[in-house]
Amino acid sequence: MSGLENAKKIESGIYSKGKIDLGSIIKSIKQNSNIIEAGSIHTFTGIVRSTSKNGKPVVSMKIDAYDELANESIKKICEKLKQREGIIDVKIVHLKGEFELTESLVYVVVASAHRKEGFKTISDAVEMYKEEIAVWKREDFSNGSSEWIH
Amino acid sequence: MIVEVLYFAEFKDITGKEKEKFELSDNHLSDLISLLFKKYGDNLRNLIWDGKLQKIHNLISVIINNQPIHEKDPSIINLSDGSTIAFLMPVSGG
Repeated sequence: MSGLENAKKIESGIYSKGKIDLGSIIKSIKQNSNIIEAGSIHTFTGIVRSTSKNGKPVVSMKIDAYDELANESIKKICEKLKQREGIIDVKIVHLKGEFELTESLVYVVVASAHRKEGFKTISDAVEMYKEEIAVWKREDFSNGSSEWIH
Repeated sequence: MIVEVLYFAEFKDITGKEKEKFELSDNHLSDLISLLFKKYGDNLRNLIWDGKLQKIHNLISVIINNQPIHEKDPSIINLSDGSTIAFLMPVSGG
């Protein structure tokens, strides 16, 4: 465990862009006292795509969040998923601010005993945060217009 | 009494602010909504208000002091001094 003992502990929640990267979340999850039971760490990174759902060219994105509500919902999702058999830890970090194409918006990291429950849980975590947390995204288009997505 | 409104997403774009304090003469949410409509006009009204039903739009979540309120008739929603209010559109995480 040497080298990991001093890694910064990262709580799930909303953070300003640039405050956290995927590597630091993985290091943090490896500090979990039960991590030696894990056989896999799964990650999902949501990034800014260059086209909207209906095909409009996107040039940048803004993410806004109601931190208090979103943090509460994220913690509930993580706690619920951690109850599952074989799930060692779950972390969800959603960033907010102004983003350029390909920049990372959200990280989900799941440590699981075996890969099967890890893949299932990370997929469920993504669907849950998209439905439940108080976060909004605005797509900015190449013609200068923009639209909040709901 | 003084209450504070938190603005997110479209509401932040329309008002140009993250939050704003209002002095109310009455303790119902309808008093605050009247002030908001007066100050920010149809852009805000069209987001919040269902003109046909004369209620807050069903898709808008009303949050008072970080707690969701399920009532949509603002004339029977009470506020108190120091209340924090937010109107939320459906979420869309990244």
